[in-house]
Amino acid sequence: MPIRVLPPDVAMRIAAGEVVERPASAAKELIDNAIDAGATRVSVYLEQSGLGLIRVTDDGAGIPAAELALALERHATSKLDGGSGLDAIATLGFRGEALPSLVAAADIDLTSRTATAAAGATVRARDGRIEAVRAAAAPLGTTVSVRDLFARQPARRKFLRTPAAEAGQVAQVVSHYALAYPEIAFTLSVDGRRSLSSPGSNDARAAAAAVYGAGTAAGLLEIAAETQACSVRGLIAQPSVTRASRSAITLFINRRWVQSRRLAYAVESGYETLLMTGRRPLSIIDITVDPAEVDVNVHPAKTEVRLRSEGEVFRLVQSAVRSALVQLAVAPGLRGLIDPPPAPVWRLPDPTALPQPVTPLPPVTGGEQPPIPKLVLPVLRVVGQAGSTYIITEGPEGLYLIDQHAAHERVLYERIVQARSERRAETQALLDPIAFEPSPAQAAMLAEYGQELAGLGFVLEPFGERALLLRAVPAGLAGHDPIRAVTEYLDAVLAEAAPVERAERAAMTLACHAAVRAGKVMTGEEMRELVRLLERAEAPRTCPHGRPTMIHVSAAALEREFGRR
Amino acid sequence: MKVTCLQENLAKGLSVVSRAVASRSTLPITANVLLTTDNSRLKLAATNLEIALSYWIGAKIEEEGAITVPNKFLTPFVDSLPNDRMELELSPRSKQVKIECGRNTATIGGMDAGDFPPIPTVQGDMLLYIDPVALRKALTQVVFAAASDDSRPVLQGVHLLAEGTRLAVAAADGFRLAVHYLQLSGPVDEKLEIIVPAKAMSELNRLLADTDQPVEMLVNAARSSVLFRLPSIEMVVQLLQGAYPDYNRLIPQNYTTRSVVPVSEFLASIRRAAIFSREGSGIVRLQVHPNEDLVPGKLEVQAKAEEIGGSDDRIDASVDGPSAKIAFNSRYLQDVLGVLDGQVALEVSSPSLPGVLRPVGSDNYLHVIMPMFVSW
Repeated sequence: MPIRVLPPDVAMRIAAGEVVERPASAAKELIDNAIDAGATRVSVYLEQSGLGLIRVTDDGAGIPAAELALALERHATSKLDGGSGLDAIATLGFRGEALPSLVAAADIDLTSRTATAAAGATVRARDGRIEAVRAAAAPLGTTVSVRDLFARQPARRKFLRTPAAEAGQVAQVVSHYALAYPEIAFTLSVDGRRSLSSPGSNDARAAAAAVYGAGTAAGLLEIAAETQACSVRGLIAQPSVTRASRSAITLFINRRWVQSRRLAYAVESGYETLLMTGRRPLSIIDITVDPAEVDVNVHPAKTEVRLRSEGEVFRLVQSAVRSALVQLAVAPGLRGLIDPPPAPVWRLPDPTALPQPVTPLPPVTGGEQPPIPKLVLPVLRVVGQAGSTYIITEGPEGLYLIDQHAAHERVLYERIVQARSERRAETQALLDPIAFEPSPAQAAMLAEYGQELAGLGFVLEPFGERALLLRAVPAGLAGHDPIRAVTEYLDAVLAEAAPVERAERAAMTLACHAAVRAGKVMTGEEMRELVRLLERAEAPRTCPHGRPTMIHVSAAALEREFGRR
Repeated sequence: MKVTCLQENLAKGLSVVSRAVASRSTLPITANVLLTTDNSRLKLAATNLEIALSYWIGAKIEEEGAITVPNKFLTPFVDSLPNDRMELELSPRSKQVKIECGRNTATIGGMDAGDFPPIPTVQGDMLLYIDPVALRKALTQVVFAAASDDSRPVLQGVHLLAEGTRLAVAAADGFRLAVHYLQLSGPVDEKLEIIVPAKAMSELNRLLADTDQPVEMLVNAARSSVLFRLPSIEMVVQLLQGAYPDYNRLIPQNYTTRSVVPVSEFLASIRRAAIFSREGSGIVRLQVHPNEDLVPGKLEVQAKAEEIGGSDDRIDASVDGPSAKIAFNSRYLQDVLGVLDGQVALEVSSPSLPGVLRPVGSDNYLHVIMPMFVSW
């Protein structure tokens, strides 16, 4: 086949995919435009998770009727006038790619009125063709409706995640803007239901309250620091408020939301030793640098940026976070949180106190035993506990060291999976139902996967506009923080696409929460019970995460090490 | 400091204050016991910064003084001595305490008494006198229901509410609630509401075993600490701060079925059921069968272990109301039945509504347990 230049419309559709890859990125481009137009109110309306309709309405400057059609053309922008402007970009958009990309990917209605115009104007794009501009009644500002996104790119549609996951992504995007622009009132409605509404009162804490709930927002600490080249401001959570993923570390550079592993790490390292391993902090941090120092032109979605002085910014973020937390440490009541956890103490037991060892194993008496299902482990005799973490047992083949947390996790995991497969969730009602407020992204997940949570034994009821009441929890979780388990489950499904993995993940999260912790001193009875349950497990040798539950030191290895053989 | 006292008294005092010695603390001096001469007595004191215990013993003071000594050495040594007169002497410069009892001698290095965290004094604002036997019973029936996890700190405490001539003692975790009402000898001037850590209440319960004098309870004006005064003992506890849930709205106001059974039989059945239920999540199923003409009603207790089997007990019960069923965690039932005696009434309405246990013949205690949702 000879080499040919692609027809423009095909080239266009391919390029569009770089900018608009999912409903959330379409919403992001439109919100960028609204903010660049100086809006004070931005509302986002979704139908069918954005695949049916995304409508972004703002009260910004508007577009003159004469320029309306041009706005939909490729590389048409009002934000750059010549190549020189690229070095110092202060607006969010600048490529002139967003609207044309949307024209290629969906049907667009663009309606706008400027302050000086008597009437508004509207322009439509259908099947990639821009139609004539017509007069229309319109309030001040711009409304862009994006209908049937990707209807003409079935391949792209196939790669989208579930509708709830896509709606969750949009909610995430709007939340980021609400946090970055507290002076703008953002609303997000999904299928007619209001899921986020920030007040636009120019109060960062109020914006945080809209996203994370009033309780969390009230406890946030303010941070601020600056050097000549850059400054850092924001709100960070106390060490007691944590998440399982980095999704709540929200970073902005010049108020543009960015993804930066390095800067997220700077925030985390500010919390050094204050958080449990695997827990991530919640923070909202805006970094202000000279626009000339940032290159946002790395990726079309503009979420990756290059910073000329990244090392300096890193140190500034880290020290700002740290100093806010250190000041907190002076306040009473938090001592327990700041103290590093005590290192596990190894104490050798008095040798005379040990049970007299290695007489032959207790004989199995009683003739015919009822068949014990799937006995894959030998019968183990508990010898003792080491480091408050490992159970030492003895079997016919030598020594087995068992990790108490991993072993219990395995037992609980199988119990949860079995209960779910038999549809008999074991549920314990709560004395006093607990109210909690999921973030908009979590709420979207909940709408979709509420059934799965119910299958595990959580009983949740709507309570007011956004809050929920937790009425009952899975029986195994009694005595643990159930709200944390629910939110962690929601965060996990937000990150996980395939349903099978999601269900696994949920069972794992629950098992991990309910399992006995490393460092807990166990009585002989408790250890024997755990070992007995582990013997009956289907896959006793690994925990659900794949770590080993036990290490085997064979009798032969012991003999070899002691030079007996 | 130079003091003479009896080994028996010192050993007794140390066994009391040792309970407040910090076992693992970042402040090493809290692993010590403070010895101070106090008029013609020797005062022993220890604190883990949450609870402070002081104990006075009679002693002959030859020279005033104060010192702190590591509890780890002092208590076992004094315990090992014969019951005899003993002498404690501090050499101020070396901070060594010399202990002599008969022909046994020991020296233990101490730390300055001035470095010991001050034992808080509680200035009287609210003073209550409580009968020790009644208080002991109340604590026994309530403290175990407090939460052991720290997801809601106030639930790790015991809630005390004095109003009029009544003192309500309550504790709850997320799944059960125990309330005991005590009669006070006289009315309180104003309503008093405090939350005392459950651990401290267990300690108090232990101390109450040895006394028949009314216990003085004194709460400071800031409502931040409470003092319990028993003969020769003072215990000061830092109170938990926060809003305790309004538990009265959690107590069901009515029921459809009430069954009365002997506590001992009910508890024995639950223990049997627990052998099977602990294999799973501790579920015990209770079914109430009403009286029929001359046949008494029954309370049926069932438990299952998957793939193994199960148990089924029937207890004679006097039943008021239609048949009913409900499932509970066996542990919660064992806990509450373990602190009751005589006859107990179980009041239920539906499998998804809380059940209430009340001792028959006294209306000063009730226990609410949330059901487990199971398929029947």
